[in-house]
Amino acid sequence: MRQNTWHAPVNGVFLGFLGAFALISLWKPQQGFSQSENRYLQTRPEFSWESLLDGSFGTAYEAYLSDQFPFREGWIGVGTGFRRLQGAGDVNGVYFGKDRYLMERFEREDLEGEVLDRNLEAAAQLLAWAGETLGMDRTRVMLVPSAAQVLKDRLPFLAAPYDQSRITKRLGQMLAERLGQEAAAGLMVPAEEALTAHSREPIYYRTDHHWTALGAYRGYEAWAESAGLAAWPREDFTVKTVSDSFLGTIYSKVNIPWPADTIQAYLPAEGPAYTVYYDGAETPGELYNYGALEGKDQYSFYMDGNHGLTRAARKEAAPESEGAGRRILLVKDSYAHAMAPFVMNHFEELHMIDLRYYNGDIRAYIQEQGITDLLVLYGIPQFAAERTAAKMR
Amino acid sequence: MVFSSLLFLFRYLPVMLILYYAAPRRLRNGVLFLGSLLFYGWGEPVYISLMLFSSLVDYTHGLAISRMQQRGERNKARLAVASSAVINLSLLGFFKYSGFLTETLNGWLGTSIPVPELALPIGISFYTFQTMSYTIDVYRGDAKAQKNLVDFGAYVSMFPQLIAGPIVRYQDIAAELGSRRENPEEFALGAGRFAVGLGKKVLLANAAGAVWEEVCGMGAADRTVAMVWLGLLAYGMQIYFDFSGYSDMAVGLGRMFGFHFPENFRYPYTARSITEFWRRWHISLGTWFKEYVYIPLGGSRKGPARQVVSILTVWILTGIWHGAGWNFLLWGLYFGLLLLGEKCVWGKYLQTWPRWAAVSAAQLLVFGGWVLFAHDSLADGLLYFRQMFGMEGLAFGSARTLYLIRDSLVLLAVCLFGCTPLPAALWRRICRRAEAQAPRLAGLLPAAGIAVLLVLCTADLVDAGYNPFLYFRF
Repeated sequence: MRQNTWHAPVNGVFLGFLGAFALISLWKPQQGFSQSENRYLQTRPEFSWESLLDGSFGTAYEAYLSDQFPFREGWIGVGTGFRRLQGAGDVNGVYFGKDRYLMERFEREDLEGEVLDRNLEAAAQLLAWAGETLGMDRTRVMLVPSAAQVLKDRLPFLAAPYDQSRITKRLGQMLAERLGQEAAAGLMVPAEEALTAHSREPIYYRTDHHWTALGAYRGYEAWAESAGLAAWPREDFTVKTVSDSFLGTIYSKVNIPWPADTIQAYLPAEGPAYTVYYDGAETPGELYNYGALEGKDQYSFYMDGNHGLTRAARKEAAPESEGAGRRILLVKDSYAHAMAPFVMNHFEELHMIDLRYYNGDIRAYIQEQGITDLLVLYGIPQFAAERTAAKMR
Repeated sequence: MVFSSLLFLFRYLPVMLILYYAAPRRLRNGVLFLGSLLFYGWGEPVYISLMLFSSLVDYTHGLAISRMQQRGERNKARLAVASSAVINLSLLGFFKYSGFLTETLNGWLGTSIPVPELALPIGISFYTFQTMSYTIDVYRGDAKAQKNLVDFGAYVSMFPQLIAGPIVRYQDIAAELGSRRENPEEFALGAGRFAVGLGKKVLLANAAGAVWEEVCGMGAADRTVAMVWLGLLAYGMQIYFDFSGYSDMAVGLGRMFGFHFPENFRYPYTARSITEFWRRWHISLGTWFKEYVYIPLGGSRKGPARQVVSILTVWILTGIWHGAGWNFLLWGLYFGLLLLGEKCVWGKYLQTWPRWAAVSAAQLLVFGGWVLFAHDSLADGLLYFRQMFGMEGLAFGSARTLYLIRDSLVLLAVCLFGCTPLPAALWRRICRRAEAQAPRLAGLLPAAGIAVLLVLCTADLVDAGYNPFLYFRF
């Protein structure tokens, strides 16, 4: 009996599976941009004999097949589920932490290396220069650890990631060599300590690599204290939940059903109004981009996402107590976007330079724009990996 | 192109199967030949010409040798075999070893001859050995010369075993090239075998490889003794499941197209001696060296001194067949010496050992060899060795070690289980029991198993994390 019946289903399953997905992938409309992965997908390459012969057609075609594979995200989810079933603590470098926290896993070889060395050197140079030019009390640096460093009690069983405070300490030493122990310590905002003190609060997103508005507020408190300013108390803000459907970048790496994050805006009950200009535009933009909440990359709600150059100016002149005549420059990555709305209340103008998209000379900019305060603000993993941070040199 | 890719599974193979089975019988070798050239040339189209050249050379040599043999011109025939071997080995030497040789020469003589930077044509070591086996077999009278160029081309370029073996000798499939019977049952056996091989490669080898990559990718000072052993275990699992997975896929694909290739692996990690290991690991390569090098060199027939030389020659060649580098040469020599030792010194004592002790000892030696094999640079390999024995001041364990063990525990346990004949026995038992209890559903069991494997493998391939091709040096 078995001899006669078993092979037909086998052949049916095998040929059916290969044939069905081959046909669907040929017939399915192509997708240009992936919201969930935040990148352009490879589309079907144009055939030409030259591209075939030099091998580039083959490479592009394979990328197209993978990027456009039917139910791509579902497949990634199946893969993740299977590896979790094997008891893996992390999948694709993502920890499955307690309380449904997805956190990025970093090890020494991920963060330490030439890029970090160059970036530390460049940051130390800029900070030493600014300390001497703008004043030690007007210069600050803040390296913000990622979730795995702060939410240690939420890590999966036995997880022991790289200690990101080593990087902060190294920067401290490099500054101490240039400016002396005491001055160097003054420049460093103790971000990790401030966040760790509030680690029971939702200071990081569960599905994204950024901090939340509350996390940014805790960071702002630490910065303000370090800079000798009085941070605005939380009661002065109306907290508005603007989205409850945020599935961030870390989620995209694992793609399995997961509860979404909320995005909050801390709106000052009574505060100065600002006009924001992005990338030197003449017409003002919006401080909060509500349009971004419709899409996938909802963190772009803050400060309209990534821009090389951002300038926010107070609409009415500031009173003396509120930082009249003071202009702060943030040299930063996207961690700053959630914190900038708090910082700006203490200044007449707030400028932000994102070195990933800005190629000008920072020192010249500081002098041309009459900048009085500097804050270098990066997430630690981004700082360690982002080659462009070396432009601070 | 590699089997474990979306391109192969969802483009190439379906199209190939349709064309092959739509074609009348007499055109099927032609379909295989052209399709295999496409398969081969996908990444590097220029190398198709190399394969065509190689096919033509051996085709004409084979015909010539056969004619000379018929006329009784043995000396001429011998010259022709030599000519074919020289051409084949020159191609291999040029593409695979010229860089290594010039670097070595430069190092020894202090010269600065420019080092040629050639991309190694994928699978060249496999098909060169196959075509050489053909002319030699014809010369020896073990095979008839192939008159049909298309049939011969189909043999040389046949995509299932083209890039990672098994090394199919011409005499093994000469009959099937001429006439073979494809049928649904054979096809299903082939499909099942292919799915199992794909699962071994994608689900086990790639995952074990990620563990190994983590250990060898981290700074040497961050490792611990336990971690280094864990990494080596993972590497051994990666290379076994990768290689035997490829061979399974090759055998399975062969069956789908009506061919029966020789088996290449038979649970090598259960071997109780090095001699036995090499009878179970990459069997087709061992057979090739035995047939075409060891026995012609005299084998065991010309006295012990000659045998020692033959054995060491074979093993040094086996070593550098795996890659042009000192580490591979030493790796081969290491096994040559171990085999000699077993033959002449401690082999007889080994047989009195309990099975578990003999297997453990043999596998420790095999895995020790993998340290050499895995490190291109001898210095790195030696460092790894010293770390295994705590000689670099490494701690025994660390928090990261514990995490890595936790992370890979299930995977490596499954791998260890998978190295033995137990899974196959278990599967047969399940099928028998199912048949006894629910005969109607039992027929669906193999199909269900294949469906699960295909789904999991596709998920992994779409994710496209880590899927290396390990044989680019072979």
